[in-house]
Amino acid sequence: MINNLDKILKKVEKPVRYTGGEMNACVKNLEEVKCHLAFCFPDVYEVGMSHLGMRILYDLYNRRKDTYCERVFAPWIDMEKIMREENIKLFSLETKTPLHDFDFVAFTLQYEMSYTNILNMLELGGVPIKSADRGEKDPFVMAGGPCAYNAEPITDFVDLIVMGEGEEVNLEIVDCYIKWKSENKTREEFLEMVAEIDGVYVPKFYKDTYNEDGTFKGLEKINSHAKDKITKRIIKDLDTLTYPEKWIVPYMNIVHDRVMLEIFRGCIRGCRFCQAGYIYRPVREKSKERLEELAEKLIANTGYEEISLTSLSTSDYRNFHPLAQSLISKFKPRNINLSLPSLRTDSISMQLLKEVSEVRKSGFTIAPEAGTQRLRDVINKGLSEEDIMRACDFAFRSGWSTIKLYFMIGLPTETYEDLDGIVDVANKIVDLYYAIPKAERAKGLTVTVSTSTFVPKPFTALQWCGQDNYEEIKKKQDYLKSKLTNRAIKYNWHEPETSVVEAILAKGDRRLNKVIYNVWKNGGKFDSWGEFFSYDRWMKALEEEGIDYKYYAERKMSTDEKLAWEHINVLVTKDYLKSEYEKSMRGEVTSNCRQNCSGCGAACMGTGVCFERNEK
Amino acid sequence: MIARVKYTKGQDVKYVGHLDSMRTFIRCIKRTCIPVKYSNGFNPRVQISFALPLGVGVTSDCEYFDLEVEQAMNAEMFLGELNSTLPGGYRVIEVEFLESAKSLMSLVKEAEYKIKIEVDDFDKVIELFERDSIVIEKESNSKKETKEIELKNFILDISFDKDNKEVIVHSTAGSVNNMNPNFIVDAVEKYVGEVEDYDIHRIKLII
Repeated sequence: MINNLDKILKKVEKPVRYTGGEMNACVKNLEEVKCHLAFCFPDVYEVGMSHLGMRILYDLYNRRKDTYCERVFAPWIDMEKIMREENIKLFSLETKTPLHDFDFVAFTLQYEMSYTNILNMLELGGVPIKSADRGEKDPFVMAGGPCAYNAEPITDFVDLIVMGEGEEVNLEIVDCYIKWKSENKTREEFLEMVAEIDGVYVPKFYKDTYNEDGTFKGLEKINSHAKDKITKRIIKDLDTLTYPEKWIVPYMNIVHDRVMLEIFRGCIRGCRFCQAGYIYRPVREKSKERLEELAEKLIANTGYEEISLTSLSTSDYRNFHPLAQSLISKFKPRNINLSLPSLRTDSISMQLLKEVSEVRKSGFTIAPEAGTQRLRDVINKGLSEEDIMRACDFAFRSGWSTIKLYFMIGLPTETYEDLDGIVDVANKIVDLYYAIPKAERAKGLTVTVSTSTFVPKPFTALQWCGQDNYEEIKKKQDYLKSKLTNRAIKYNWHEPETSVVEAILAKGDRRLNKVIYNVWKNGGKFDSWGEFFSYDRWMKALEEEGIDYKYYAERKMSTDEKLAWEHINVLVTKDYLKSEYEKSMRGEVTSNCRQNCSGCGAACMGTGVCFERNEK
Repeated sequence: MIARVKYTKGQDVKYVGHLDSMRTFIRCIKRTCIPVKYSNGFNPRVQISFALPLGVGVTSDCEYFDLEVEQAMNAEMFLGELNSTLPGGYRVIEVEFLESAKSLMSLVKEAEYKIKIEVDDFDKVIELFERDSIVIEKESNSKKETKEIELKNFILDISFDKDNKEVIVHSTAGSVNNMNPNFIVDAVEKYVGEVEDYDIHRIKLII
């Protein structure tokens, strides 16, 4: 416990970020547990508490009598300053235990820009930052989440990395830990034991090698307990899973302040830029009955006024319509809203959306991603201009007058014609609005066009592509600024600097560990927050290490080249990604998993969408 | 029908702000079988109103809210139901069912606080409040300007517990002439010297 915490909390902004004790938070006696974990989210409380994965694992660990999982978030700048002045170590919310006293310190890797916060939290928590400096008494630092699939840039800082869905493998790790502890073995021996569990990657048991020209050659296994390839874990039947029914209700407003009900994992669509679309395959659904049961329990346990269906593409849930109708009829009379994100533009989905959003204050969002059909085919975004226009027509006639459009710029093969396509789509939507009689449409049209910068990600069909260089992205943004002149159209763009660093880290190898360390040493933290991100700090650190960032971000790779993440098996094969890449360059589309199996490799698990046809 | 509820707010939740506390009560009430009456209109809401907001970091033995309900219910059951869902730190202790009532906020006129003030020489704190006038600066809500206020105008009665370094102050309160208890700490900081730490507790809210 920290004795002067009370005094400090009077001086910081939003002190409830640090106090815990929320409704449904887990309280346990430390004397009674054999394994004590700190689940760390490398961002501030209100961001971390909005993350479903953390809630699932927190609940999973804490259902075990012998295990206690607590939460730790990155302290905000004001709190960090006081903690450093008063020499207070970063502590957990539940029991205020300093990080260095835990058995495990586990980080979730949700986005590359959070890496510097991991280093900062380790230091604040009194845990040696580098794996090599940790001794027998120090906690094991573990990581998981989407960025874990290529965590090579942070292998100096973590002891073990977990690939894939955590519900089974994390419990196996706890079992392994308890066994190891009872046998009085060494730290090294634990890592050898845990390396034998499927889905666990112990980076120190491999050595990175490079070709003479500086390209990546491969990882060499240097410990016999380690595996040649680490295969991600998946849960075969989601209905057998526990779910966090004791949903923590924060006191303060958080980013996603509602009950999240996960309806399925994976995505059938196969958009070629989308990492989530590949790494979470195959699609597996929860049954409608299970979801109805969970929804009731979650609302009863929280008193929340909103429940949101969570997945990568909500309307692809096979029983979507009946499920939504059933939840609406259950909850509407009790004044509980249903929120339906990530819908497609089919008519049933649109009709449901209209039904649940009674006050159409928030905008109607569509993500065409690219401006022309040609480029949408390149990225396999199965959305036609006709779909977009039909959805907008429906929205205008249903009371919406704000349309938000999301596009990416810098996509492979993009030309200025594709940018003109973005302008055309926006203008056509404006024309469509004015073509509808005044009496039949809502007042005050706004079409918001937002562009983000394409970031090539590992395990996608576009992983070999380079990113447009910084000047080119700027030029494209300026071009759009000059063309999107209609009064009803607003243009938002992201400064490309963050996307450049994201691309470097996403496709990085172990040589970047030093860079991340130096960026952090020079004050880097909260890099995902615009006000703290410094492009110069990153560029300087890369330069100091003699690293040309273009090697990672801008260079178009040959498909024969060895990838820094090839030792990880996400089920989707490299050959499949290669064929998708080639089809992409030819502008050919691939059908979705329900139309036609395209043989990505995920069927080897014997479950999910790959076997739906056999179900009947 | 209105349920007038008295509750306490302890150490564990003292940093939960007024609006966050309100939301917590609403969510907890929804988890019980209390027959809440919702407002009419597009977005039906639980109708709840609180007495004097409690500052962040302040604990209290005596807080009130009014909740509109369809009908009265057994008081013990009402309190039991609600306490079983409230997070540790909040406790409802009394409920009274009223056919109609004036707004709580308008009823509040006075309050009593116990303020522990860690200073080197507590005698100087006692001396300070013997003065006829204690002027402190208060930031306007926009924090753009400060205005001077006379603290003595709020204080109806004051006593001290020297051993525990506590000031017990009975002050005016409410929407018209409210004394923020932090004013007492501010005055000590200004006239006596550095305050190491402090703790504010509302003992009574007089309605």
